[in-house]
Amino acid sequence: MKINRVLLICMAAALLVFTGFYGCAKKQVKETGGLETQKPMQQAPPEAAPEKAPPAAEAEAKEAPPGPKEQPEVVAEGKAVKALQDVFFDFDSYVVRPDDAAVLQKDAEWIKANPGVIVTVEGNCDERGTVEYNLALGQRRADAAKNYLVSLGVPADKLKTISFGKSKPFDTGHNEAAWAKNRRDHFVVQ
Amino acid sequence: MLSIVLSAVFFLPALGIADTKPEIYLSTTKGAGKISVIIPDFEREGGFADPQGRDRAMADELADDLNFSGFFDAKRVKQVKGDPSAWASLDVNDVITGAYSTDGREITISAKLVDAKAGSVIMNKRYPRSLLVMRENIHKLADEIIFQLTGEKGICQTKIAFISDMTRHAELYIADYDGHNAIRLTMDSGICLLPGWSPSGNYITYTSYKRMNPDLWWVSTSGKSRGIISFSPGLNTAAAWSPDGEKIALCLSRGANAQIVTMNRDGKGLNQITHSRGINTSPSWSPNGREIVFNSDREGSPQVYAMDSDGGNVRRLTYSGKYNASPAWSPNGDKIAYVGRESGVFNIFMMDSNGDNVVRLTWNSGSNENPSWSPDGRHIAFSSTRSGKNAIYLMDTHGENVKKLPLGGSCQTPAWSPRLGSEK
Repeated sequence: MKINRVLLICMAAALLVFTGFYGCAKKQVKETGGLETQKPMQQAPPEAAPEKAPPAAEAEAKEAPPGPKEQPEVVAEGKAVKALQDVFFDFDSYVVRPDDAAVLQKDAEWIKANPGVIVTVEGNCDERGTVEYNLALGQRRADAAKNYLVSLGVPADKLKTISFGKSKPFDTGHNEAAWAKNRRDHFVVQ
Repeated sequence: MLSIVLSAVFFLPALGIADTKPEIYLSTTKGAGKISVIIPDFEREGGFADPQGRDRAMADELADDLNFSGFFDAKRVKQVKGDPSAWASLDVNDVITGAYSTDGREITISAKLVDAKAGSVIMNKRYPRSLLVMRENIHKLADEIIFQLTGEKGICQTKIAFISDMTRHAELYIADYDGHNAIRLTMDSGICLLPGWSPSGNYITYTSYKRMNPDLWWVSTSGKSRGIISFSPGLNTAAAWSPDGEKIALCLSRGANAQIVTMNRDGKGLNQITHSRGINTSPSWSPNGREIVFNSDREGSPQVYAMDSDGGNVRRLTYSGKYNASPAWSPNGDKIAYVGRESGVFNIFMMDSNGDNVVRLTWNSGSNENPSWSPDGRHIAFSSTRSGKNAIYLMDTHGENVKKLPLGGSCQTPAWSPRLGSEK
């Protein structure tokens, strides 16, 4: 008798917990709004808030999307190679310094010795510039290294450039030691 | 039938056919006469308690919207006693009473704007909608109250596009202007940067490294469709739409130094409009579309310049400080916000569109970047490291009324939407 009652109470409790859980989970995403930081935000589901969707859809249908019809193909990511060493730059500068020129000479030898590779020069900046300006400064740093390598006899079609501005710092510290490491050209190989 | 009539009666004030003359308060300067308002908790029909706290949440959201607008001094109370005829003793301009009924899926909200001194109802609104858009309807109510009492269109229904790394990658998001309901629009798992809104509010352009190059992409604000606009090798960055939505100005490098070009919205019709040495980037259009303000280091250090939208008549605007950048032309055309660097950190400044009357808006608060104007020209969104991690903040044009948006991850490059949809 006693055992049955205990069992019954446990089952009831389990049922309550289960439905409580399920109920909470259902409500959580929609009602509290705001940003759930525990998990990554979901991409806007097409069927969310049906009362809202029609005006946006109509407006989009009337205004054609921007851009051309032809879309380009995807490109693969490159990998770092130990032999190709980074070069570094002064604050707000894209000038290749003498020590870095010596590193680029070694890099040039490696590239010429490996004729099958395509090398991408990745230009980077420290955090003390604006997002927009640093994208351009990183591009100048990448171009400076590429131009120097070309002047050392590396065929230009073996070299690509890309700027990451300040978006891909090597060191996320906020001091001169970190910043100096981030003002760099990094090399990856296709 | 009755509900249709009732809805029409409630709807008429929104059409400007108010039954009382609106009190116009145009000034939002510090200390100037604000409209004082009391907002009690919303009342749930039947007097039932609300374990979800919606009675307080909706009243809080309404008070926040009205206070943020700069026109109001809105105070929250639990309840207001007595009936409107006795409210003159409260010594405020207006009382806003809200009521609602909900079954947990649907919520019907109603609200009355009462002139406290006269004891009369100025406006009566009703929103029978799904619970999913509860916050949206309170923002709509706030805009309708702002318009009723000031004659100005509010910004409570606008959005902010921004970049966050909360998924460990820099992706594009949009959120309500108060930071709620953030939705991710990209899944590029690389780096996305520098969102910009089409003037229609239908599309957002952004730079993404999805194809291993900083290309210019577009996404619809619903997130349903996307594509590429400009993919020249090198930079396709800092895109800004012309106010008529026909052209995009952006920064391209194309194997040489960074220049500003304009192109048609389909990506064709490229016209290079800067031709200097050095770096030219960060364009922002004047609201009449005739001029562009931008960042150039052609004279040795990054400064803010203006030019005609075809590139003629270039003139420098900033002369103090060694690094002035990221300019943003105000929607009213009279001001330009920008950043100035000193000792390695940025602060937000504002100047007249001819460079006069420079005013500093942020002080001793980390590094503050990428100012973006609200469509009414009364507020600026920006990123700041003042609390450690990069976050998005809003402030008014005096640098006051600063509000941090409750967003996840490290956030940067905010872009304030135009007015959207029905409230344009």
